[in-house]
Amino acid sequence: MGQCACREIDLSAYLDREISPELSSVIEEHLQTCQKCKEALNRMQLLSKAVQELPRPSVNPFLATKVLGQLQTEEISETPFVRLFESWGILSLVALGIVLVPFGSSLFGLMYVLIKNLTIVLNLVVNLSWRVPMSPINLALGAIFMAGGILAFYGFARLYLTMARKELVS
Amino acid sequence: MIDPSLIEQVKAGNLTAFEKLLQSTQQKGFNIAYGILHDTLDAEDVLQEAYLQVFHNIKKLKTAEAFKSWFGKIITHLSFRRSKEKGRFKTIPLHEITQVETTFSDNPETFMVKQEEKEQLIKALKFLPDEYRAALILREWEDYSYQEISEVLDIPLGTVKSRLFSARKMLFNKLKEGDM
Repeated sequence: MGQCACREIDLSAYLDREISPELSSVIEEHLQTCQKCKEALNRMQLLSKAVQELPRPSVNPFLATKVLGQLQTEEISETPFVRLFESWGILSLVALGIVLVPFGSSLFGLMYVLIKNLTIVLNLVVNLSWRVPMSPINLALGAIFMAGGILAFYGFARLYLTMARKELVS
Repeated sequence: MIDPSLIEQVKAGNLTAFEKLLQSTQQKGFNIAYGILHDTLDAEDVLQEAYLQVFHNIKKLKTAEAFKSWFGKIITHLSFRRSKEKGRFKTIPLHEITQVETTFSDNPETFMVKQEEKEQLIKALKFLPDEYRAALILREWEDYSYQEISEVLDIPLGTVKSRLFSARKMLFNKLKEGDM
């Protein structure tokens, strides 16, 4: 095909009718005399037709019901309470940022020491937890920390899911 | 083309209009996802997620004419993601594609894809790298223009032209080899 006036890549675009009128005329003129290019175009056409005629399964007739059902479930779960959890996720991120910027290096240093001496630290925590008196204040503080942790976890999960849904669409 | 008023109604949150939009576009969307993934269940999951994204993000769509490319882009990206999750995503370096030396003028005997060879063609399609298969499917099954394919796949027009040509060349080569 080296000595031909047209290239196969142009024949492919010609087949798709995606070529300038000028180049199209050049190709048509060339095809009148070049048997090789004519055959190449013919094979491309046959291949293209064969791909177009390949069987395609039908879409699930219940797709609309499924999608609409999911949208309605989302609508129900999008209550102000859930939005509060989402904002809780964002607030936790902001709080983490505020703590990490000024104290980041010290915190990482502390974590390094804690992980390095994990056994001692765990022993200390277990011992201390037995010594802390079961006063209502301590119990309330424990409950607040636990609830905060769960809320932050849930908030992050909601935030992640919302972002994952929006990330692909621009 | 999608009726602009239908798009406006969906933008306003009208679920009946959304259902109408879904009914009129679902087979086309399914064809794209199935063409890329070759698995009806995966294609169905992708389509379901795509319609949720359409509903939640349609306000970002500027014109109704842009819907075809926008919708195709959502489905294609989600299909690529699913293919990656399943560890089936195939890509191929450019130099390997240019190494496919077969030309359409080789093998002067008649080239035909007969009915019994359709299976071979399906296998050959699966062999194509995902991005090439997507371009070919958009073109051959859903009649996307080069401009629309360029918007869907985020590639320049020239790349669309060469990608389609390479896809056809690889397919032709694979069918000729017949070792699938």
